[in-house]
Amino acid sequence: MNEIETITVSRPSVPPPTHDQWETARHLLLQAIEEQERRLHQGRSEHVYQQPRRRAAIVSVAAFAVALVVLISVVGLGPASTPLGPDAAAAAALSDAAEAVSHTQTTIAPGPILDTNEYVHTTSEGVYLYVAAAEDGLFAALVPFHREVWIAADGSGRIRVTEGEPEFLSEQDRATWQEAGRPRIALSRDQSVGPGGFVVNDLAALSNDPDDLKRYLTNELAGSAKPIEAALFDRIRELLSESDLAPRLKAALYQVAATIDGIELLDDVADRAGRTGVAVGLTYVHSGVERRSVLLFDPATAELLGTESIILSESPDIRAPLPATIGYVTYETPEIVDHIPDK
Amino acid sequence: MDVRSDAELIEASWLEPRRFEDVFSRHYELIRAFLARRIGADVADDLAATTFLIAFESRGKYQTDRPDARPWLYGIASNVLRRHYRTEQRRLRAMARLGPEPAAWLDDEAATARVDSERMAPHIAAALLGLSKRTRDVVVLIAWEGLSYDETAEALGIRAGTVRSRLFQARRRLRDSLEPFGQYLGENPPRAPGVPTERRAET
Repeated sequence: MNEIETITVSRPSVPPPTHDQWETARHLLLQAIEEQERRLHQGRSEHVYQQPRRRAAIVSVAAFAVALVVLISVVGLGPASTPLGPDAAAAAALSDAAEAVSHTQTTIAPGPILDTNEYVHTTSEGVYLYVAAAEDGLFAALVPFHREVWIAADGSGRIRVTEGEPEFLSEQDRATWQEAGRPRIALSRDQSVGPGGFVVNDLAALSNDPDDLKRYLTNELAGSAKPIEAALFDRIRELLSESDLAPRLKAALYQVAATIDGIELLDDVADRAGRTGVAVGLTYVHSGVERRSVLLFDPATAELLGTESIILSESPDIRAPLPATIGYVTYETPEIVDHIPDK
Repeated sequence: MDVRSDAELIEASWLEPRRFEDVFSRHYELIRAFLARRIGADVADDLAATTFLIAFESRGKYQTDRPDARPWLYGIASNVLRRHYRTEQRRLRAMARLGPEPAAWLDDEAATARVDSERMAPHIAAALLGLSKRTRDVVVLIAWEGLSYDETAEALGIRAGTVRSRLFQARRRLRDSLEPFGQYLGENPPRAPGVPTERRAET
């Protein structure tokens, strides 16, 4: 018996639900069904599903895109990575961003503003770290990707991800990969989704009040393997990548970020279009490895420009000179288009 | 008997929402049992109901080329569970200290292993407690719910290779936890020929 089989035979048994338990759950579902039926009968089919929202965790749309703006990977690296200011400087920068975005009257969003046959088109690109276990050990590579998403008002749309040739962190990583039979690493895909395909429910649950929002997110992240500050910071980075955030919620996210212990203001931040952004980083230790998460944004508009993740200390999986960038995503302002290209 | 697939029922429910009730009837008990094993029967009722409400609201994104909705439902239930991680931790800690609740730990179908399992239950709970949340999700879906690697990947929104990698890590950790109790013979983790396990580093 192996370890998993040991777990299997210890599977807890659960008595079937009682009639009352079954009926209670069924009743709740029927209420939701009847509500949708009522809407359908009223001809409000466009509201059958919630307003389209995107969530990277579900459809890998974490990053909305890019191209013109590319975060130079030197953010937070080497001597330039030394925090320039105290925590107060980073907090002030984030608070300023919250202030800037709170004056924004509109935001691009598929639901409220799109007409029929219009789509929000977003593009992102970057690299992610791929680590795999082979017979003779681990191999690691940075995989570049380019991602485009088109979303219609009804939540239908298309996601197209093109992954490029992996860049192995070392010759040893390449050799291990070769010995493993050169397994495929890049995973491009082009997927159309039906109505509601990009719908998620998370954003509706988030409060615009920074205190409530922080409490909610902290509770949601309880038990994370990362330090809670890092988990919270990374969750905010992920949420800010949603292009259809309401301005008040976006402002609240920046305000929560401003309260996270350990945030630092970084310098030497630019994108390849030559624009300078404000970068805030958080350094933490996870699984014995020192890491840094970076958030880059436009101070005038609070628009998210990019994110970056860096390894600062030796890791058993990473055979690369330190500090090592193990992932970044850059974002471009989403645009509204009237069609999805054929290819 | 309705012989239509889950996918067909869900697709039909896009225009006829009431058809989703059939999906509930088919899988409610399964999902509730999964949640009860993870977090306890007292909380599972609410979370199972929540799971089906979320499933109903998000059914528009169901990929209808997948006839079996169980992985999708397990995935939603796993997401629901993440907000109750502390409760699960407390439950496992209690089991690790005290052993199982009466008649709540052992599967009748595993009667032949009952004696050993009863003895092992607190140690199993302690071992599961030692796994990260993400790794535990994989282990439980495979070991307790009987999902395949592909189904587990679909449920958790990760690659099958990532499932293998997490299982690989889990087995190493479980081996450390359980070996003192002599419950298994160590062996190499399962791996398809020529296909390495994989994982994306946390970034």
